[in-house]
Amino acid sequence: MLSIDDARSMQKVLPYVRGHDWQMEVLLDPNGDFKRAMNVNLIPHTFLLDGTGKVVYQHTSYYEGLEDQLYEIIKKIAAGEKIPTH
Amino acid sequence: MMKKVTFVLFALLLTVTGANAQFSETMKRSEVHGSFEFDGYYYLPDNTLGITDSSINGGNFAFNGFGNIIYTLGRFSAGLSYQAYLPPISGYDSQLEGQGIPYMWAKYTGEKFTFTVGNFYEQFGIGLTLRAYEEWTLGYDNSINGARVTYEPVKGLMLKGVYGVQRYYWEKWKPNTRGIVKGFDAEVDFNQVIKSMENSKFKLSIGGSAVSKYQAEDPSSKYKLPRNVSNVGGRINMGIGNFIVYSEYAWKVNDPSAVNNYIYKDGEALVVTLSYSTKGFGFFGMFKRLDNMSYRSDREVTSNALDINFLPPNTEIHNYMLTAMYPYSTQPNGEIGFQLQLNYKIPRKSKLGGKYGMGISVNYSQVNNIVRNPPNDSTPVGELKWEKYTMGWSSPFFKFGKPVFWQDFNIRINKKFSKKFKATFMYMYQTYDKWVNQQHVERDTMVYANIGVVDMTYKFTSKSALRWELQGFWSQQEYGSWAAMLLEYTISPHWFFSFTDQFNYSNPATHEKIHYYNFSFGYTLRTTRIAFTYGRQREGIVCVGGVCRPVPASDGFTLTITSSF
Repeated sequence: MLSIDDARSMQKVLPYVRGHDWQMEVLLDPNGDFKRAMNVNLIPHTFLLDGTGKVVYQHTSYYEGLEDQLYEIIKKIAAGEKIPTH
Repeated sequence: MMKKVTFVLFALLLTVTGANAQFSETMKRSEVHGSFEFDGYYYLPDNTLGITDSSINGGNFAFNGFGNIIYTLGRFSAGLSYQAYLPPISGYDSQLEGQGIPYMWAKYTGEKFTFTVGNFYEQFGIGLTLRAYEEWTLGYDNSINGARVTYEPVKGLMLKGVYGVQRYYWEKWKPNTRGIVKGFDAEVDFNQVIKSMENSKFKLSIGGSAVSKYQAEDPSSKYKLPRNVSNVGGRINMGIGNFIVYSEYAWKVNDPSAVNNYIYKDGEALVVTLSYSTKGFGFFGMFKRLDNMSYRSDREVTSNALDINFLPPNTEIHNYMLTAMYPYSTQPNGEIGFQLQLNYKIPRKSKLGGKYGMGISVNYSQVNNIVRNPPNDSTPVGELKWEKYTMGWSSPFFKFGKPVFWQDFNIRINKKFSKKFKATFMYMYQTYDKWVNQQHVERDTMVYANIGVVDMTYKFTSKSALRWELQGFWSQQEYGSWAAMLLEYTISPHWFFSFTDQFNYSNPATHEKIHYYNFSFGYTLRTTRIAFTYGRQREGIVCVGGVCRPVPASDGFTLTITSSF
């Protein structure tokens, strides 16, 4: 997960993440350089990368259940199948 | 002969394919990406809100939009941003009206150096000396147009230099208008620079910055104004085990401006944060003091523009409709405050935690005025009457003054009850000084409110879910009490449909007991999202990071399209 927290709220991220017991790696983008480079307009924005670091799927905004669909897409990619275009 | 011709042809073919290969190789390495957004409004008359055809006056349409393009070729990248406010959506600064390319840049990223020319964003530390950033929802952009260099001679030592002029709506820079900004920053991360500290439990990094602005003297001014004003800062970040302490201090020399009523006092700012965190538990504490710290590249400007530095708020950011009713606006002339935050996850399979665990967070924040004494002790000084002293005031550093600008106590509980059902419960008590936060003329406009939120989500299937929010805002002041609710049905990953209503049921004026309802739906396909809304917007204020803009009441249709590629 990449947090969009800028330098003013950066110090809050670690106690927040640990306090919620989130078991994932969290990176910070204090000056928003990465967000701009990746053309992110809305938060959250999901990127799915393959083993070579290539973006294979993107999705903007989140609705309940998106994680299940992501899981299906990951399984398809792992099996070498094409992912649906929608 | 034939052979020769064939050979020439062959050679020609080789050259062509060679060039082609080189060209396609270049093309392969180069990438073009971009994004755009369109926010369009159509305003309707609404008698209940006092909006008539004549007050709209033909201005039914408003739209804010942008398009970004970034081109990358290996170490080289360049980009531009087109923006249009034709005219700006109501609540955005009218000076934004116009269209053009306010943001254009080229960048080279080397092993140790990066060079940027054109427009750029930058931030030193938490921004007390310099922060150039953009916030689309505020219509805020103080990007610098000039040059930026970063140099990292060894891993963990970062040097940065910036030079340029800041964006001021659509106004091109000319000599003797707004000032020129120069800045230098250095940061050392000892855990990276010193080999033996690499795996140490003790983390240390130190940074320092110096920023200067130059603005020509205004010959018509009755004051003798300084042309160069510098702002220097230092910061230190220390981690010991699960503790992290961060502090940043900045000191600004005398900077008479329209914001501080042309006083010649120096300014200072201090931010100290402490955090402790371990698995399932996080504590965060912050102390902040600002004293005459507005720092802009034009001393005459008071609107949301041309800030060189950024003064971080120490208040919680709220997202629910009614908890965000009175957001905090930073007071650059002086404020002192603190924040305490606890996050705790009650483990799974415990008595309170149940099958999935339960999250609790408690937050308290307070901001007061600083204490202001006359610079010359024998003269009495009325509150906020300091503008009559050349040196402004003297202020005891750690004293909390009156009034309380802001106070917020809130507690939030997140609980997942089953695979299908989860909920968040929130209670908040708020004290808010409308006078300082919204620059109203009348005094004694304190608002005290109790706020409650229940936010429930029920999953019907793995794709569809219903979210239901109930909110109450109870207050005796200003508009009185409110009730609000939200119903949102989503079908992942494409659709959402929602209905919200905010009802001002106890407004002292009967004709102001208004329902502010909204219907909206939207469709998302990968990186493209289209949303359509019909409804009423209540009058209010929207703030991001303590920087605020007013939102007037309105009624109408909204269309938002956003996409990236």
